[in-house]
Amino acid sequence: MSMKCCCLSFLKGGLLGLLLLLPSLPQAELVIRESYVKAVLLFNFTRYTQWPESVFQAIGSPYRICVLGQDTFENALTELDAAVEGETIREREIEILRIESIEQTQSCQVLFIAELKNYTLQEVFAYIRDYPILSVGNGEDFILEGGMIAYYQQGTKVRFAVNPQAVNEAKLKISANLLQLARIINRQ
Amino acid sequence: MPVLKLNPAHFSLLLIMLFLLLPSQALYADENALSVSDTGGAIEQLKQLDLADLLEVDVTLDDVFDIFDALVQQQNVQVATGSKQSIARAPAVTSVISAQDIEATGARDIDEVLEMIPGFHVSRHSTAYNPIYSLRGIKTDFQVLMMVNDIPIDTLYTGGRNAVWGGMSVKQIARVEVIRGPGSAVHGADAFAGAINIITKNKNDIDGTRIGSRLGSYNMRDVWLEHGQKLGALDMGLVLEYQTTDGHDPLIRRDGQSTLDQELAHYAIPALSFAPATANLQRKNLDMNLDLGWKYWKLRLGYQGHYDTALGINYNNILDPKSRFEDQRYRADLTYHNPLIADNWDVTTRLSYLDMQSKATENQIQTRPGFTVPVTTGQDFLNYPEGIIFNSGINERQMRLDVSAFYFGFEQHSLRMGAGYSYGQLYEITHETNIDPVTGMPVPLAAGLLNLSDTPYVFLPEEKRKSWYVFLQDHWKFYENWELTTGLRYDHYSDFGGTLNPRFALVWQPIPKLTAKLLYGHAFRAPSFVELYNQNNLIVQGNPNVKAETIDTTELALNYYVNDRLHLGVNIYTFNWQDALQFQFSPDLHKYIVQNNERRKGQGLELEARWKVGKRLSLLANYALQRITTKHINVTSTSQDAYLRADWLLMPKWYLNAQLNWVGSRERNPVDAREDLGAYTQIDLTLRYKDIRYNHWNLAFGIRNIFDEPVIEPSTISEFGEARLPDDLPMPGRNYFIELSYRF
Repeated sequence: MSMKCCCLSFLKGGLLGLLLLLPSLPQAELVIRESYVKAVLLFNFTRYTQWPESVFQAIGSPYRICVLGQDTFENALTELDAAVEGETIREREIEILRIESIEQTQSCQVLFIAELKNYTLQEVFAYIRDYPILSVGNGEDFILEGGMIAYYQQGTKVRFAVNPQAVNEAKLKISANLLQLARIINRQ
Repeated sequence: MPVLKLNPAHFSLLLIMLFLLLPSQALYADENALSVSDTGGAIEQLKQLDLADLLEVDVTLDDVFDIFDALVQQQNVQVATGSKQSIARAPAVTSVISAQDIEATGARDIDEVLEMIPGFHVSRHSTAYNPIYSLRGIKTDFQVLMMVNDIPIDTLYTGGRNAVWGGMSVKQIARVEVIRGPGSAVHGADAFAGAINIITKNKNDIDGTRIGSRLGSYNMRDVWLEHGQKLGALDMGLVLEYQTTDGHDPLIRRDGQSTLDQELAHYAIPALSFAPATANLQRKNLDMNLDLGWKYWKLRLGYQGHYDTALGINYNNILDPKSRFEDQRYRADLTYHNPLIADNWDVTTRLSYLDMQSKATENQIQTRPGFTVPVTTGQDFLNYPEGIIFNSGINERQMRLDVSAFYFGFEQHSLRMGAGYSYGQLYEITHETNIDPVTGMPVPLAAGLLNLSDTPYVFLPEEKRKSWYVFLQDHWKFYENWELTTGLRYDHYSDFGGTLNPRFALVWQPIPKLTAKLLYGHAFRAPSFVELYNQNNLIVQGNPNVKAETIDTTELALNYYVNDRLHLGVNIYTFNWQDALQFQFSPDLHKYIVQNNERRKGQGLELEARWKVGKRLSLLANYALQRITTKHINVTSTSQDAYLRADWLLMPKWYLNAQLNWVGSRERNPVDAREDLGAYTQIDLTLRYKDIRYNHWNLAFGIRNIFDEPVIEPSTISEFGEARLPDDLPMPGRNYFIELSYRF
């Protein structure tokens, strides 16, 4: 029941040498982290979504992008800050807010939900259901649990999926351009 | 007809080439560079891109431990209703296995993959060691529907997979979704004990180009290529895999001929059996899968070829080192799926084609030259100096048109409806033999084999089947935290009539962490062409008047999410299986004839746990207990199995997977005089090097059955209650593989 001799000799010859080569040396290339792309996408989701005018308390009120839970953005909110820096959407400024409790979501237009410690996803969705809040999270399951936009990973690329019904139910409108690039997941 | 021949030297060369092809800078890629980078600058650059380009940027993944999240959390299925749902809330008991699971466990064939599913066990037929898929204690193999991309691949001929199945390699598989339980209200025929849907990889599942090779015990060699590319607006995914093996050479101490030899020894008739000898299970497989996507269109072409497949043990349970089979399957489907076709409508239309061709490429020696049988006890003997040869060829095609749609326009309801038509036929049955069908006497080989194809003496006529169906399914959120799924499907068959299959699923989520489901489903299995039309056989005969088998299953399932890291599931079920098809002796015909005359009842329990213990360890466990009572003979048999899997991140980039598969003792049929077959535990280890950030090199070393446990699957008994292979079917002992692949 042993491996045939050809495999063994090949093993000794080629593969062991290969193994030694695997640990690698540094390079100096600009690294694009997953969170950078997610941050830029989050800004674009905000840009390509329409809220009912009534959600803004005053003419100059900013768009609020809130982050709930622990995440890569937690230590590096700078990424999100960098993504929205100097940007305005329909003449409104953009504010990044890190929040701890679901009660704080009321004033958010976009809610990025990261790894939750104190809540379950369902609790968050149950709470925000009555507000026009664009919910964004990670993984297909996020949508299947009731979320609107989810990042997912495809090899080394960041992609996103949208549930158009959930968006409609919250009285939001996502532009067709954004939908075209999204994977559509219709949830029962 | 071996189209590809690769010897060990070629394999080694391929691996060396693989190494030489490696772009040199890949060796110097480094994750330490992560800490350097200029965040603001990078983001500024990304903001300049338009959205479509942004999605094509190669990123450095943030969380090295993502793999364990995926194992525990990303659990959703489409197979339950046709729409994606989390496993917890899907109105069926389901399991999913992703390409990541397949890679982690080092599985090489679909049979190894399915073994991970609670209550699922793959045992073996003696003939060619064909797999028997048993689920929930239903062990007759035709009661599990197998689909590739939602399209059934079961044959009309046997109702199960091909007569000589030859396996299915796994590199083409993106995920496997399984319904444990009835699925006829959604998938139609044969989703009886369960339904398996194999979803093949598309461009998005394949990251660039990867080539790889695996070498292993039993002269097992495997090479593959995966390629995913965007060609303008066209998404292309291609997977090619070629496998060969000499088989694990199980030692068969006594075969069907040995028993006969023993009886005939009194009359000084020389023994003919090869036993004790090893069974030749060599095979060569080629799998190709091309997936083209354009806007809402998808064209998928699949080819599976099995060449030089040895039977090992033939239909008469006689060792047969020389027989060879060739089997080819062609799959094609053109699918249009538009999830936004109109407000609230999500529509899918699919045209599909399946062609399966199998034939003997060497004479199929049913009994060896010199075969002798007593005609009257101890007096006259019938002698076949050249043995009995029976060469069969089976060619079958199936065409289907399916249309389905979701409608989301009602406040609390989502509706799914659909209809379809299918046409299937055996278009060429060939039959060659050296036995005169009229006299039963041998014809000398020198005169050539008799060709009985297209004569009344052929073993199976070239029959056809037409069927159509309509279904409607309603998903109703009728009260806060309560959902009711009701489904009804009507199928009509040209050969055995109509069948109506309802299902109900009540799902209650009293608190977000807990889901409770009460499920009922009615399902059917269509009689196969062998059961309907088998003819000119001395022992068994088909019966065109039989109807479908049916099963009613009631289940209660609970899913409890203790937290994001620990998920638990438990379910119990009971089923009533009616009109089960069985061969029954007919004194008039002096033959066994197929009848709907059996009833079986079953109950069972399945437990599941998934636990992400920490950032470096995840565990998965399941256990199933099932009991089935056959009314006719009033016999109850109990079986159990358990599966445990652990994935460790040993050090950065090095993963260790261990899986334990325990199969409880196998009770014998009461007319089988042998003792019950004992339990076994098989443990496999796979060590893998993988850099998920750059994902270029992937290297693995695996040991299967690490403790060399004697893994034995039971042999069946004949119509006369004899165990023709009294020592059962030994499975592989300890064996090894090494695997290397590189992504460009």
